[in-house]
Amino acid sequence: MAAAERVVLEEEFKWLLQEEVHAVLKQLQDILKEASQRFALPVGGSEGAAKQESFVLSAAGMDQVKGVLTLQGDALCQADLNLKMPRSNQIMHFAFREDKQWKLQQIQDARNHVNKAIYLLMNRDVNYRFKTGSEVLKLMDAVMLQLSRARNRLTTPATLSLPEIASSGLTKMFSPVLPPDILVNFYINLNKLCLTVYQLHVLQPSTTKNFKPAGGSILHNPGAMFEFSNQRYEVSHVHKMECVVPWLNDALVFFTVSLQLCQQLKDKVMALEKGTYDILKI
Amino acid sequence: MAGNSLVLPIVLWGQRAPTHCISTLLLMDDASMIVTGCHDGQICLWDIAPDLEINPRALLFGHTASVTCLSKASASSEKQYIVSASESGEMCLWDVNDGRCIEFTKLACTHTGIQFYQFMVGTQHEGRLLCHGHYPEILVVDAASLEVLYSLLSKISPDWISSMTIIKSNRTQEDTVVAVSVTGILKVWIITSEVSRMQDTAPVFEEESKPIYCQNCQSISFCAFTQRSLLVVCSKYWRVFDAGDYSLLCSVPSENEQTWTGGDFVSADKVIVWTEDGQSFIYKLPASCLPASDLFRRDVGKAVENLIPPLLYSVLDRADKQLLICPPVTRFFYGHREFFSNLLIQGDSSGRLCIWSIPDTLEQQDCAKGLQTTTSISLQEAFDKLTPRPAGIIDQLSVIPNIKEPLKVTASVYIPAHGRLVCGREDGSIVIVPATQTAIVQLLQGEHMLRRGWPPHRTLRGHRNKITCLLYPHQVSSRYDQRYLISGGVDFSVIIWDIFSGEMKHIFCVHGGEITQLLVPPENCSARVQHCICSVASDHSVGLLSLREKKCIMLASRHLFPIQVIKWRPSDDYLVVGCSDGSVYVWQMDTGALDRCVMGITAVEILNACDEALPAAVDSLSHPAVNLKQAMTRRSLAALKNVAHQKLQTLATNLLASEASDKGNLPKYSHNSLMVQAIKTNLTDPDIHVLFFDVEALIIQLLTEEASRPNSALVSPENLQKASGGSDKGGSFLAGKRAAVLFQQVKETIKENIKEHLLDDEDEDEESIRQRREDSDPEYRSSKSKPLTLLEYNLTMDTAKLFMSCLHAWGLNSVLDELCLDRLGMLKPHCSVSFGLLSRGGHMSLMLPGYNQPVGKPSYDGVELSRKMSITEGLGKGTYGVSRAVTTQHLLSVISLANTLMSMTNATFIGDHMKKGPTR
Repeated sequence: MAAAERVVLEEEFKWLLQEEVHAVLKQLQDILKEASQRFALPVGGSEGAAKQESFVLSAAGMDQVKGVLTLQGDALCQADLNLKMPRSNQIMHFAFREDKQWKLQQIQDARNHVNKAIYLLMNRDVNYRFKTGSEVLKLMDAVMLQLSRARNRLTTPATLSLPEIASSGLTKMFSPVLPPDILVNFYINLNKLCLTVYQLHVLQPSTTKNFKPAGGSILHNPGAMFEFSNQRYEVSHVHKMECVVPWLNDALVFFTVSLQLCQQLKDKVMALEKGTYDILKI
Repeated sequence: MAGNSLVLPIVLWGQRAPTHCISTLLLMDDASMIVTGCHDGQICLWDIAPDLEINPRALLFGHTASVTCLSKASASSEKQYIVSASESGEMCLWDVNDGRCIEFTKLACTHTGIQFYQFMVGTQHEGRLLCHGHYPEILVVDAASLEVLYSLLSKISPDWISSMTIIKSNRTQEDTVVAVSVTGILKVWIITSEVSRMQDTAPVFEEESKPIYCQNCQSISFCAFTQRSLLVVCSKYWRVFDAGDYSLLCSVPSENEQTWTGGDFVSADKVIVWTEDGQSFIYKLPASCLPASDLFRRDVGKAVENLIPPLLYSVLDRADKQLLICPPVTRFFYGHREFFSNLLIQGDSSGRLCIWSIPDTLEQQDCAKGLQTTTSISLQEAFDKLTPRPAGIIDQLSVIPNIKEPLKVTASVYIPAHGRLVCGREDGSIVIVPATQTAIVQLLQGEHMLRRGWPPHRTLRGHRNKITCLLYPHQVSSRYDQRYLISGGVDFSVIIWDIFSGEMKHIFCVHGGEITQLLVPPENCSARVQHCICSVASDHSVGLLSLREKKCIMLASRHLFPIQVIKWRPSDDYLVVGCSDGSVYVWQMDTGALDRCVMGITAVEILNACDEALPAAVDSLSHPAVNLKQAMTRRSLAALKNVAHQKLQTLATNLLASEASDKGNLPKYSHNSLMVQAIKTNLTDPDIHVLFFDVEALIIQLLTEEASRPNSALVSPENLQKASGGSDKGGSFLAGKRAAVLFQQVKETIKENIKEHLLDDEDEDEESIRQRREDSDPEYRSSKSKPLTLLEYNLTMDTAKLFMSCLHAWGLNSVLDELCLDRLGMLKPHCSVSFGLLSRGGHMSLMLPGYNQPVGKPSYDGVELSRKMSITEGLGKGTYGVSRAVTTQHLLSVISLANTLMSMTNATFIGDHMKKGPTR
C-alpha cells in the first residue's frame, strides 16, 4: 500500500484518539447526567426531599381493582388500593401504613449503574490523552456494561415465585392488613410502573386436583398453585394494572442513545486501529 | 463432561503468554502464593518465594466474565481454599493447591467484595463469606457450600455497599461489620455468634447508620494497631475517622487531579494510599489522629480546611512506565510472622505483578527517589525466560527466517475421524497436520527433531490475511460432504476447501467485516438451509451460505450491536439473532425478511423458547471460556451417542465427583482417545491448544485393535502377574521384567479395589479372545506380526506413546529411564510438560510452562549439561510433586495403560512406522 495512504490513516487514527473520542465522551457524559437527573434522588445523604409523583393505575375494561401510587425517587411512599371482592361485591380499601415505604430496587439499581458509568467517563476528561485504541475499547466496554445493566434492570423485572411474593413483606405494608387470600406485587417493566393483584383460594387437602407448584414468573396466570406456610393456594383471579412513568421513558431513551454512541465509537476505533496496524505490517 | 471418565489435558501454550489484564488480586495467608483474577475471567496462581521471587504456576478456567473479587475461603492452613466471583454473578470455590474447583454457583447479582469470617456456631467454627455488590444487603454465604444463608439488611436508606471491613474486637465477643454505601452512609452491623443461629427468625438490621459524606468510596480499613481509627479512601480524597463514634479526624484531597483507588494502615501512625496511575504514597498521620497522643481528637468538629494535614513520607512508583490500557490493581498485605515484611502488590493490564517490600521502620525519604520495587514479573517475561521456549502446536512448521517468533495460529479445528488438526495462521495460510505427530515433535525429544518439515502436512493458501475461524461441517452433521472445510478471515471472505485435494472450491465475499463465527444450522431446517453454513461478521451481519449452490441465500445485516448469539426456530423457519445490547432480531430464513425486533422480557423469552425447542443446538460462542465449556458438553453428548460395543467399567468413578453422577452410570465412550481443543483467553490472543487424552477410550482402542489382529496373543494381567512372580520362566516379556516389576510396585501403592476393578473388567475381553488364543502359540515376543490396519494402529500407538512419554516420571530411576528409552521406545520430553486438571462443571486448571521452575533461583541458561540436569530434576518433581489430584490421575492412567500395553503382543513403541510416516 502506498506510503501516502498510510500517513493519512495514521493521521486519521490520531485525530480519532485525540479529538473525536473526547467529543463522544463529552456527549455521553451530558446525556447520562441528564438521565441520572431523571432519577432525582437525594444524593450524599443530604435529605433534600425528592418530589412526589402520583400515578393512577388502571386496567382497561376492569373496575374490580383501582390503585393510586405515589412514587418518591426509588420508593413508593403511598399506595391506595380499591378492591372489589369477587364474592361479596363489596369494595375494600387498603393503603400503605404511614410509617412504611416500599423501595423499588430496580430504580435504585438502574440509578447506581448510570452513576458508575458517569464516574468512569469523568475519570477520563479532556485532559486525559488516549494513547492506544485498546484503552478506548476497554473504557467503552466498562461503560457499556454499566449502561446495559442499567437498562436491563428496568426492562427485565425479577421473576418471582408466588411464595416469594407472599413472604416479601409487601403484604405487611398495608392498613388494614391485607386478607390472606390477596397478594400484591409492584415492579417496573420498561417505562411502566406495574401493580399485580392476585386473588387466591385455598386448596383443601382433600382436593382431587393435581398439585403442581408454579415456578418463578413475572406475571402468574390464574390456576397457578403454590404452597405457603403449610397451606396450599391456587390463584383464582389476576388483576394487572400499569401506568407510564414519563421520566423512566426518558431515561430508557437516554440509555439506548448512549449505548449506540458507545458502540459506534468502538466500531470506529476498531476499524481504524486494525487498518493502521495491517498497513504497518504489509 | 468432567464426569466419570479419566480425561487428562496437556497444554501447548506457545511462545506468547495469554492476555492477563489483572482485575483483582490476593496474597494467601502464608504468603506462599499470589492469586490474580483477570478481565477475561481466568485466575492465575503465582508461587512466591521468601526472597519475593515470583513464578506463575497455573491458570484456572471457569468464569465467563471478568473476575471481580477474590477472598480466602478457609481458615486452616492445610486447606488452601479461595473463592472467586465474577461480573456475571458466578462464584467458584477453588483448592489452589490442586487448581481444582470444589463448588460453584451462580446468582443473579454481581459481588464486588467478599470477606471471609469465622462464626462460632455452638463450639464449632463455621466459615462464612460476607459479600456485597450490586444489591443493597450484605449476603452471608456458607464458605463450603456457597449457599446464601441470610443477609444483613439496612433499615435507613438502604443502598449498594461500596466497601466493607470487619472489625474484630479483643475486648468483647462482638465483632462488627462496618460498611459504606454508595451514597456515603456508614453502616454498622454487630455480628455475634447469635446472629448465625437466628438465621430464619428475624432480619438482621444495622446497629448504626451515619452519613459521612464520602462519595465514590473506594476502600475502608480499620487500624489493627490502635483499634481506634478507620481509613476511608474516596476517589478524590481520603479521610481518617475515629472508630468509636465515626467523627472525622483528618481529610486529604488528591493532588493533580489524581484519583485514589484504595489505602490501608501501614503502622499505627502511617497510612499508604494509592492512585489509579499505580503510584502509592505513605503518609504520617498528624497527632490528632493518633490515639496514643494527647492531642487525639483535638480537631474534631473543625472545618475540613483547618485540619492539620498529614506529612507525605514516601512515594512508591511504578518502575516501568509501560502503557496500561486500564488502571492497575493495588493491595496492601501485612507481613506474616518473621518471614515477610509488609507487602504492597500491584497487578496491571499487561499481566505484570510488582511487589514493594515496605520495612516496618520506614525512614522519611526524598520524594523524588521513593521506595524501589522489590520484584516485578509479567506473565510474558516468565514465558520468555524459559529455555526451550514454550512450544506451540505447529511451531516447527511456522518458523520464518529472520523473525524470532513463529507465525501465530489464530484459528483451529480438530478432525478426530482423521486425527488431523487444521490450523489457520495470521498470514492467511491453513496448515493440516496429523495431531499426534505434531504434538510429539513439540513435546518429546527424538529422531524426528532432525527431520525438516516433519510431520508431513498440507498448506492451503487463499486468504489474504489472518484466519479468524475454521469449521469442519461434516463433524457436526453427516449431511455435509466430508471433503468440505470452511474458513473465514479478516479479509471479509469465507472459503470452501476440499480437504483431501487441497483445492479451493469457492470464495464467498458477502460480508462487510471480519468473519467472527462459522456455525452449522440444526438438523430439522428446510432442505435448502440444511446445506448451508451460517457465518457471522464484525459488521454485525449474519449470512447463510449454501455449500451446494455456492451462493449466499440470506444476508441479515444492519444489526446495531455486535452479534452475541445465533439461535434457530427450524419449525417456523426463523433465524434468531441475539445482539450484545440484549435486543433480538427474528429473521425469516426463506425470504430473508425481518420478522420482528424486540427488547426486554420478550427478547429473553424468545431466546429461551429457542432453547426449549432445540436443547442440543445452543450456539453462544461469544466468549472463549463459554466456547470451551460448550465444546466439552457437546463432546459428552457425542460420546453418549457413540457408546462403544465393548463394555469396560469406568476406572475410578470416585475420582471426579460429577453433578451428573446419576447419569454417570451409563457407560459413555467416544471413539476418540485424543481431542484437541483450541482455546483463547482473550479474543485477540493466538490459540492455545489443549490435548485431552481420554484414558478409557485409549484403552478400548488399543484392545479393539489388538483383538482385530488374527495372529495375536493376548496376555491377561493375571498371566502377567504369574509371569513376573515366577520371574525366571517368563523370559523378557515386555522388553524386560524389571519394568513389569516396577509397574507392579507402583500398582500396589494404589488402592486394592481399583486394581481389582480394572482386572475384572478386562475379563470380558479376555473371554472373547481366549478361544482364539488357544489356537495360536502364545509367543510373547511376536513383535514381527504386522497389524492389519497400519494407519489406525499407528494412530492409537502414537497417541499411547505420546501420552506415556509425557506421563512417565523421568529422572526418578535412571535404570528404568534407560529401559523406557531403549526398549520401550518411549521418548523424553524437551522440558516439563504442562498438564491440567478437569474438575466439576467444565472448570479446568492448566499448568503454565515452567510451573516447576524453582522459585528464587536464577533460571538455567546456556550450558547444555546443567540444562539437562534441570530437566530431569524438574520432570520428576513436576509429575509427582505438584498436586495430589493430578498425581492420582497420572498414576491411575499410567497403571491402567501400562497394564493394557503389557497385555498386548506388540507392547513396545519401537516400530518402523516412524520412518514411513502416515500413508494418508
